[in-house]
Amino acid sequence: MCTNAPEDVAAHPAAKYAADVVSLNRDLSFRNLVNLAKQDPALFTHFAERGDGLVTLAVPTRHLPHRYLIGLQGFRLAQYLQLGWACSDVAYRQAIFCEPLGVTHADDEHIITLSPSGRILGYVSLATNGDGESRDLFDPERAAFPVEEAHGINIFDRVAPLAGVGTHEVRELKRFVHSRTLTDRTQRLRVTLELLHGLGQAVVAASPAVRTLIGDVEEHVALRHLLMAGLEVQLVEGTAPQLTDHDLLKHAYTERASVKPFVSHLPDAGFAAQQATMLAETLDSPDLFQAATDMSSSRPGRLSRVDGERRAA
Amino acid sequence: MTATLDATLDIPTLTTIPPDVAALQQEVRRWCQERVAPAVRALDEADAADFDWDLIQEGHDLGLTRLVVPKQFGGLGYGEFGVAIALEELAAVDAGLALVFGATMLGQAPVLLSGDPRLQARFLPLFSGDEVVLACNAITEDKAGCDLLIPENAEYAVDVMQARREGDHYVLNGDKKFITNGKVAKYGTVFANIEGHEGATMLTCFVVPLDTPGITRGAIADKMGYRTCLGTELHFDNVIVPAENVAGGEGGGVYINVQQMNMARAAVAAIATGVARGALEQAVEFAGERIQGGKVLWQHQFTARKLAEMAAKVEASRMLYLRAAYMADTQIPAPVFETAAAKLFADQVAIEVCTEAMSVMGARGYLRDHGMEKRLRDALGSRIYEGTPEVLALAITESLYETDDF
Repeated sequence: MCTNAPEDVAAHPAAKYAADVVSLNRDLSFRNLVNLAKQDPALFTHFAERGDGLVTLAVPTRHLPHRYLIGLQGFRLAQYLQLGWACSDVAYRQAIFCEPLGVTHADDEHIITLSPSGRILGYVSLATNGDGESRDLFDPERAAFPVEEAHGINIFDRVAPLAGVGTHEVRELKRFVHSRTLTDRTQRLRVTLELLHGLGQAVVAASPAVRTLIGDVEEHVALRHLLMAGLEVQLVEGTAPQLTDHDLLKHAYTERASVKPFVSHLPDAGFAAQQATMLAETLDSPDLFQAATDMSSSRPGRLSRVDGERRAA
Repeated sequence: MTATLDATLDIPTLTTIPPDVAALQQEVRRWCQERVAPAVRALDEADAADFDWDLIQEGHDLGLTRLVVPKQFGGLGYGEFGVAIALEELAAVDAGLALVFGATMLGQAPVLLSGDPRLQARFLPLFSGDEVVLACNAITEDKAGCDLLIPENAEYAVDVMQARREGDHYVLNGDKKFITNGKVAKYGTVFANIEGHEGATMLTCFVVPLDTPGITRGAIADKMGYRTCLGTELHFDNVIVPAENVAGGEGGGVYINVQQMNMARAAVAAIATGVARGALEQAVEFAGERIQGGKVLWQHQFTARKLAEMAAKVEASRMLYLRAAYMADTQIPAPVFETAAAKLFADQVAIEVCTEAMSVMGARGYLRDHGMEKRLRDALGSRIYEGTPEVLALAITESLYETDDF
């Protein structure tokens, strides 16, 4: 049974374990990832190094050394433990020190912003469903995306897919994770924009072209990132997470404001490239907050809601 | 020299080196030739307290601090066989450097041997990042050396570091001596006896971050050889260690230690073999160029005989450590006889081959400029740690007489 972390961390083995996992991951550096990107740029989908020493890169799982993948999943778990989204009891019982790797696929893209010392400041991933060949979105044999598993739905039962789009043209946008050490507002915004820029470049580079993004978001939090990026977001209301008490991330769905699935169809092939260009220009601006506001207002995202009823076949 | 084995043994896997280990061997060899060899003399002549972090960082980048860390923790997942081959490559150029990484593996071993998944999850991923992390294994004390290694001696051990249980933690008090990497390690596996028990009869292994309050790192030993690695004292003054940091359970330190030693001896035999191989290669090169009496040295029968015997000894030494490493990888518990025999033999071979190589080189062998005297100093060191010949002899003969496991 998953319980909340107690106040007295020292007296609770699971809380002590979680604190150790957080400390362990905080100490890890990934600076050679930058060298790897410089030595072999063809392996990386995106690389941006700005004047303040931040480096953002995007790399598919198949080109990411295994220990870095473990490190990324460890970073994510460490932040989730601190936020109370991951269950320290489950982590303790199962001796988990990183999010399980089994749900990552070779073509998943990992977008990472690193500090000059190689510490992860922000991370987001763009997940595939792992189908070997692209399948129809209503094919009962296709693999589910993580959001569909979490909510127990075929998301395209709720929001109609674009005509002719199969599983290889859909990506799940996982949650943005910022380092808890990132307390400076400007730096935090920069990291968000860097991740969005990297995401845009990863979408641009995908083949076949990505036509639809899906995922789940908490309103007023991650949803803002999507709207900032100019996406038209359809939020699915009325679903309930299908997670057991033994699920490591159950709290991420139950301890926060309602987490809702979303679908965002990209308007055209050039959209992601245009948005990526705008984001790059914003990041080069001396007044980041003003530039981000200007960018959002020049091409604002749009939000609509659909009820959770299953569409007629 | 290559480590390709042509001899027929009863262990089929020893006839070839697996491709992943061969790739590791080549990678380490290349790094040693390109980066380590040019630095060896400076490393040897540096002040005893100097430590070349840049070179160690390069070794870390190569994966040498995570060779035995399982892949699920971001390591490379090699067994003793792969480790031993990598250490031979390092030691052929600089035994001290080999020991920096070997001592780190020794510090990782209790965490691995404990079989405690939470202990493993809390410590082993430390080595998967890009900043170098070293570990150490702290057992030896001023008045207790072999008494902590030989279970039958445990009751005679005196002034052993004490651990006192207080609620959810232990309090450690005492001193450790000659701890390789003690000055530079992030954490150590520290052996202490539980208070109220005789000698070292309740020896317990603790995983201790070395920045824990109450720990001071003491004087660095000014060693004859192995100067690249630092041997240090560690002082523990009321050091609080969480109970969950015990590896192998209270009183389980003796089992952890015996297993650790039996496994480590194959690796130490590989280091000694590397020292001998380095000396042989240098002697072969010299004897292939130096002309006396109108012909190169190796064509003189006395020299040829020396070189031939040196080569045979190195080859035999390698066979023994590979067999021991293979058995350590495939047997639970790790074997006593084979690993002790491999180390006993390799230590002696290292001294003999370095001595003969020095003789082949004449005056040059005796001069610091040429590096052979450094190899001989290192060879003498291999005989001391992880079991002196006297301790090894007991282990071997007890196996011969099939008495209690050592």
